[in-house]
Amino acid sequence: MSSLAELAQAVFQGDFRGSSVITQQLIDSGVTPMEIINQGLLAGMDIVAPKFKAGEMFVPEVMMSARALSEGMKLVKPLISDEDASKAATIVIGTVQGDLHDIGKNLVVMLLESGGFNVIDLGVDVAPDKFVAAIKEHSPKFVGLSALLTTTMMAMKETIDAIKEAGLRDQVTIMVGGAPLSQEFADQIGADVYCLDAVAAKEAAAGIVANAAR
Amino acid sequence: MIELEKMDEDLRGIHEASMTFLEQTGMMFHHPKVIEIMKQEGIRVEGKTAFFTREQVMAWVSKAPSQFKVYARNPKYDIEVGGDHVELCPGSGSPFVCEIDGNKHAALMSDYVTFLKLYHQSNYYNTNGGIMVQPTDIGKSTIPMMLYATLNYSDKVIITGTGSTEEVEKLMDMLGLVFGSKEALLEKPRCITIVNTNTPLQFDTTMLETMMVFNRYKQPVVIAAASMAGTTAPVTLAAAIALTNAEVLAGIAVAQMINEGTPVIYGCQSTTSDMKTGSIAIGAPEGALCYQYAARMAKSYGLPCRGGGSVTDAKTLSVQAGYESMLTLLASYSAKTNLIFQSAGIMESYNSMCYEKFIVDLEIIGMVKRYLGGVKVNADTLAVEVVQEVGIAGQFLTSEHTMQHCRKEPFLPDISLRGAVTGDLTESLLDNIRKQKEKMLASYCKPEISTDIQDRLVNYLLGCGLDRILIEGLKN
Repeated sequence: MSSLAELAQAVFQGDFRGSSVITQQLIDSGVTPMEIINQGLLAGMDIVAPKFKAGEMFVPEVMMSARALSEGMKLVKPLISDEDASKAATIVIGTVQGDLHDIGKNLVVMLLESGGFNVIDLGVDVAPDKFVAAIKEHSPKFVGLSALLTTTMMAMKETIDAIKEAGLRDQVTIMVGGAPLSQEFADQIGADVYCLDAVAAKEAAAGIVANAAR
Repeated sequence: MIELEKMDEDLRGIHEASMTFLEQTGMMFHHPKVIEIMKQEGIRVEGKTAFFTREQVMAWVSKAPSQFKVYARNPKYDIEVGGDHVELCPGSGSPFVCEIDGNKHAALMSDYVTFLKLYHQSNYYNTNGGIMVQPTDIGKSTIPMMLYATLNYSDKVIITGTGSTEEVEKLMDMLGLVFGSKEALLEKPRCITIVNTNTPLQFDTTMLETMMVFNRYKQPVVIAAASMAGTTAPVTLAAAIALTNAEVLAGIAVAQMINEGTPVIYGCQSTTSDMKTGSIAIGAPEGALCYQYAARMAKSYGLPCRGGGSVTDAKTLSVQAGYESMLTLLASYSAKTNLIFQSAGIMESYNSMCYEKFIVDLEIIGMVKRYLGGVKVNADTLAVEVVQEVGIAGQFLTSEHTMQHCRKEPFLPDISLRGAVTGDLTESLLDNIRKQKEKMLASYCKPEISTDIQDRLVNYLLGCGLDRILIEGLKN
């Protein structure tokens, strides 16, 4: 019989088949869903995170670990009580209107999902009103905006303005990122957090959640 | 017709894979007009995805010209694009300007103008303009202002940017005012721009709109892919090159459908990704390989090519900036790439341009040109009589032969430190760089532009609702 520690190892090793098998075994043997998530799946990512930050694990390897986590999550998520499910912070994220670039955004999605966040990924070329509709539907704590082009950066401002106009600005923490961005630009457009890269985005979001929990 | 049987084996392998990508996976074009044109030409289309057969794509690609001339305002700067001609072009696309220590600011119009002057002053360049930096202080309608600045500060071959159909038509209106009429543009290529695909296998609306306007006026357009092996393309280089190749050939085919015979340039700015972060790695040896292969592929198709540059991922003006830029420029230049953009000033994976890096890159260009210039072997250079005269244990520093050749034979550095150097050694090189930049700017003179053309341009821009103060500032 496998243990939670073995599940964490399977996630760390990027063994997505093993993760699926072990998760099912743990479910069948009566281990609670939250224990499986926290001490098995997320614990595995906790080994990955510092190694990634130190450059010892590469992005493709981290992606495999995230996939292993996701395979386990698929089995265990339907079993979580509504009360426990509501504890996961939600983020609505997308690449802004006119822009099809999404590698950076996808890295953020992967890091946040494997950090236990509930991620609503709107994809690319997302119009401001689509962000507004998603906020109304999912009541997220965070909104993430990504852009790669200098010509589409201004769509971030338009999106933030649309969120303000809809009366939703105070409900969300707006995080922005992308190669042409800077702290100055983020301040100018009224964003809450400027993220230098995907790891910074994950750390900022996790930090805000941890502070709110205290 | 392109003779595939004559291609080198490795290139042929890449070509076949590209054809399979287009036949099997297809390419998405985000523009209804382009979809319509492709359907009319018998290309199988499902939704926005076009599936070209290899016969279809190569039949269209073969209609593109293999060489053409681009005319500058000043004819001494006219260039040939194609064959083994190599022309250097400015940096393109950076939103920031950085200092040697990596501190950066969002680019301003004043930075754009400074770069116009610097490129104008360099004898290595017959081209100027484009998105050398993206000015953030001139409102949303930037490409007409940038073209206006280019026309004012330089009379070299014009590079421009990209935008919606409406914005790019304004560029054609302006060029029509300068060169006689918009119809006259059809007779003579006058400006070049770059459009990019979105790897893997997409071409977005703005890029297609820009391309279509350029195609209609028969102005040269670089159709480029910048695949990143490991993120937007498979990590193995052969696949990344093949994916780039597929996208660029499909784009060129579409351009020929829009206006048969319109000048295009095969563009590859592909490289690898950094596996630790997923970021682009432009100074990588893989980039150098992609630029080399781009030139080989394009030349085997009989197409002019663009790729490479003097590029780096370095965050500061460090040794990393030096070794990466030297590798990438040597690779691009020795491949006889016809247009080499990003050739001076690029830092930090295209994020910034740097004035001091610009000067360093001019030095790198000079060294590369000297190296590729080779060794001339003739009676004079073999100097047999000179050796006889100087004799055993003599010296050549004071001979007449040396005096005659000393300014022509060796590369004469503008900034590199050689010999005995006094004072602060770390500051000396930087000092030379700064002095060279100041010297270039101090000797800059604005080229002539007729009052008549100037007035027409100003009235046109005012008619577009652009800021009078900004316009006057550029004029004077």
